[in-house]
Amino acid sequence: MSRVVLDILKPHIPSLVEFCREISKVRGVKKVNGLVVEVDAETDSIRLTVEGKDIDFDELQSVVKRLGAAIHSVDEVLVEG
Amino acid sequence: MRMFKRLKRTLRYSNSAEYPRRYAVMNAFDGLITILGIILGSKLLGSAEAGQIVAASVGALIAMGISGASGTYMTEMAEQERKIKELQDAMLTNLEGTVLVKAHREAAVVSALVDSAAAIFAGLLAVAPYFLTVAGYLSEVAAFYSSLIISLSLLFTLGVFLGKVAGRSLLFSGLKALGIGCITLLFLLLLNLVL
Repeated sequence: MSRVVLDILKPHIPSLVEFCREISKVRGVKKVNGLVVEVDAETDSIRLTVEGKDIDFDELQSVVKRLGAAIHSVDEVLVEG
Repeated sequence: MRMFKRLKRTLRYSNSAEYPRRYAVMNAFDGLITILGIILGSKLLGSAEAGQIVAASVGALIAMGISGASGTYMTEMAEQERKIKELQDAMLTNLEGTVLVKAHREAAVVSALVDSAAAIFAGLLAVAPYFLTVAGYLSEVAAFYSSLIISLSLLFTLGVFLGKVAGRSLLFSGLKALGIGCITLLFLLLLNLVL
């Protein structure tokens, strides 16, 4: 997998910067783009675009969970053969 | 350095950055006033010797340390659990095992440790001259005045620190805190006259 776009619900803390930094440490990830879509009282909805080579999706999911966030949907996936 | 970074992250993630500061000042204040009370009471209302003052002070500080740590831990843990629950309700998911829950629980421990250490540290500084008297390096009169000066100076310093936090006049804030020490002194002097 070389690109995945996720719709994520996260608490305000950790900040988007810290959140993206942690995601960038996942195996295979080269580039992370976080975009705030909506801000609520306690949460942020973000659109996370992750690019790289052989992205470890299981690890990506567990890092998102460890940071207290939840993946609402996987909106786009690019897998190169 | 790594530990300090982790501590900073814990406080940031739990949104509790100002708690240790609050507890540190609050209980340092308690420790100082307690020791001031013991020293003044022992000298003005009684005729305790240096060894007895040291024993009473150490006993009081240990009790304050235990009471501060346990009380703060229980209170803070309840507050942090409430914050976790609110966050879980907003996220519609169980956050157990996440960095956030861990940070909230660690923040309660940090607050408890700071609370306890502040009282003990400030109190020990105030009673330090009496340790020197017991060891034979300082006369009792010198220890009394040194303790008084240290206690009042520390109260003033705490006041200045609070003034800095609030962004207000440092001198006024310092004098306000010093005034509390002076009120303790005044009460005991009056009690001495009455008795």
